[in-house]
Amino acid sequence: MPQEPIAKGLVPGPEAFAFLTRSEAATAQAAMARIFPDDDLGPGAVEAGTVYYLDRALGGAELHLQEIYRAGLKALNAVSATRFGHAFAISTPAEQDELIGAMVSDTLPDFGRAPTAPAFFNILRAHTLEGMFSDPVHGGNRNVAGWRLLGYLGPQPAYSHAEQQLDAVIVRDRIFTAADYPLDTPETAK
Amino acid sequence: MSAPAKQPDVIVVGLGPAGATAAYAMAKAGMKVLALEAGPQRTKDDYRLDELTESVFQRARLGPKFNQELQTWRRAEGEPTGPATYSLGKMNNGVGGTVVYSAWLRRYMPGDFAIRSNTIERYGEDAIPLGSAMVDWPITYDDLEPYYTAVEKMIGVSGIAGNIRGEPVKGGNPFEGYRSEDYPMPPLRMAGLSDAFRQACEAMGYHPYPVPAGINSVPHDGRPACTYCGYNAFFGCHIDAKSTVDLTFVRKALATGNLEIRTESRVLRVTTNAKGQASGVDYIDAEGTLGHLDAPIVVLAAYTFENVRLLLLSKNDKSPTGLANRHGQVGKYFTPKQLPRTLGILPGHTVNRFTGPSAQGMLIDDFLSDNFDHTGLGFIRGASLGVIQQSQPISVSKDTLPPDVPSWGRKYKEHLVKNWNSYFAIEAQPEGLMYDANFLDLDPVVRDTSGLGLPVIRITFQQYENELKIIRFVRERSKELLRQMGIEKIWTGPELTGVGSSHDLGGLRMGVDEAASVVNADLMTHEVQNLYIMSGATFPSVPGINPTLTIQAVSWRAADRLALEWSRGRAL
Repeated sequence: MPQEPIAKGLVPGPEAFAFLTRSEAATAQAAMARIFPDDDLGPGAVEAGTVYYLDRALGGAELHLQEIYRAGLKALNAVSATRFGHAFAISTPAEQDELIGAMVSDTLPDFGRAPTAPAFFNILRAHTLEGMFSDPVHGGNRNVAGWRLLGYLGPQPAYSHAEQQLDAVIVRDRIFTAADYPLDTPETAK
Repeated sequence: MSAPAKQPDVIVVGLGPAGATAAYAMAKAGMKVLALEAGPQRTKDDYRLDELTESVFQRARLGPKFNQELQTWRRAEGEPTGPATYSLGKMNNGVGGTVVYSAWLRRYMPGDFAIRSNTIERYGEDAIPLGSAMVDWPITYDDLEPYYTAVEKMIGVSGIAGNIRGEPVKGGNPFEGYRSEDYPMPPLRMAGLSDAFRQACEAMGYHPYPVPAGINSVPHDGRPACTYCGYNAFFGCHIDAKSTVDLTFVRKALATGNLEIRTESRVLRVTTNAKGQASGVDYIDAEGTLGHLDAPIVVLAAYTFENVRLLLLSKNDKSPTGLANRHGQVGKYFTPKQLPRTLGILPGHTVNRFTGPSAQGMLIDDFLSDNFDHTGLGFIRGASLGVIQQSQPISVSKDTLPPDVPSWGRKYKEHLVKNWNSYFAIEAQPEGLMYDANFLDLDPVVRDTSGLGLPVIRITFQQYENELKIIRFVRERSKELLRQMGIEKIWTGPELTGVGSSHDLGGLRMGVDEAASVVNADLMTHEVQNLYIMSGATFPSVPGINPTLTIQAVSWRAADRLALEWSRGRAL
């Protein structure tokens, strides 16, 4: 009988964070969930795991945004506490929408300037959409939820002329991802 | 890194379209060419079909050097300076340069080389916009025609010629100049959206033609035909169906045995000797070792920004404001292309624009250049209009929204889910006139993040009345075309799309007058007679046409003439 690995519960799984603290992650996820909600139209930021995409981005390709995120999430919680008496992540959806709307219209005078509320919204929105629609290899778009929502087929190797016509229905047996294009191809290895 | 066995006859800085074309011409003529390329040599297996990492709209992974020295921008002298904004403008670094280009290989119109005299002749002196710096080119379409044809054959262009030796060809562009030969390949196949656009254009009396593309429509030159996967422009092609200079000019230049390439070698300045001539270049290699290389001739063939930067960084006691800058012309007349769009939703249809390369599109030149009468319009010059393929989900999700759709929340999501595969844009490529007040210099504060800490380029640029009128005029024509296609829901994107566009031209103007230009018609600097600039930076105007083919034609012509001078010098 195979032995259970003793440390199973301690292995950092896909739910763990490398840069964000758990409370920062909760704040970011709550905001992302209002920017691109999970609803009857289909998967949103939570199901696609956009906060895991964000965490990976901040720990790697977008290191330069770490301080901005830290300050922006802190400011969002501060204005939430002032206005509603509790942290952003446990505010009601209506309260959260009110604050995000005020970030967009730059009507949160106590948000601070580094970053400004509209600038931070733009960064959050960009990461939400990247987490929805980038290749799953980057930590978001889990189970290709974002691509399934659109009906996008991923990086397919080819399309026929008939499939390029208006209203053509394109059928594939599965969605492709980066995993279908290993860089070390047999041809290179030769 | 070891020194070359023998001093080269010429050093070429940058192995993109200009440098590779010139390197080929000179190597073929027997010159020993040493090319220094700041980026690596990549092959098709290095390219990912991954929008986030590869696309120039996202992380632009293939341009590490460019990303370390992003430009700054102010609208005018005295105004605050901030980061530059980019439409298509993030460049890649590597052998081939163009590997992420959209491969639209269009020729400039014959009249584009004489915009000042043509404008005055047709509309009078008063039609020249105030503050503009409109000049004729010192070379003509006739000078370039053989080189256009030669580049098209070497690269392998797919398209329908519109004018073969003066004979109009049905389905081609009736406005184009004569060409001495047909394209080497038939056009890419027609997508449904292109066909719908073509029908609307024809119904309105316009003259649609397929984009001439540097993409194999059939197997060609040992490389396969395009599979229409949709990862083309802003990506490297993972099957080599896109024709780039690394696969064509560089390969053929290497085959002569006269080209040596040093990759990951970033040139820092051009050095000069006691006589004020170029003596070689200082550079830093992949290991971070500083070095110097001597050469009797130096060709700068980096991107527009970097060529200007290198001349300014090469200042010395004799040239305190930068090399070849005696008359203060280095950096002047810089003009990026604007790419304004008019968007619409094709009701009740899907367009499947996520298939195929962007070059699989349809264009009209009816409102380009001086192809229409401007009398009474209040502006000169114009724009091409067209539809293209290749949409990708991140770009689509970040695209310009109709004014009644918010940027977040359920209403945004509803719009995206419903319309992402039904909307498209008529893309305009307007001409940009050059202005005295639009220029490049070194930022006095901001340094690159490469570790060298050299100043980055500061862009001083704003749009003026004439160009805004072009954009507004062609937007109205675009709306009419969209309505002709049955579209009611129409909106527009910004008029200023970025100060970096990948069609960023001027800064080192070619001309006859030494006091009003930097290089002559052979692309030799007026001041330093063994220093050449091969680049879109030398262009005296910015037609509403993709510049790469003309950059190559101009560079090939100049390199041929340089090689001829070199061989004469050897014969003496």
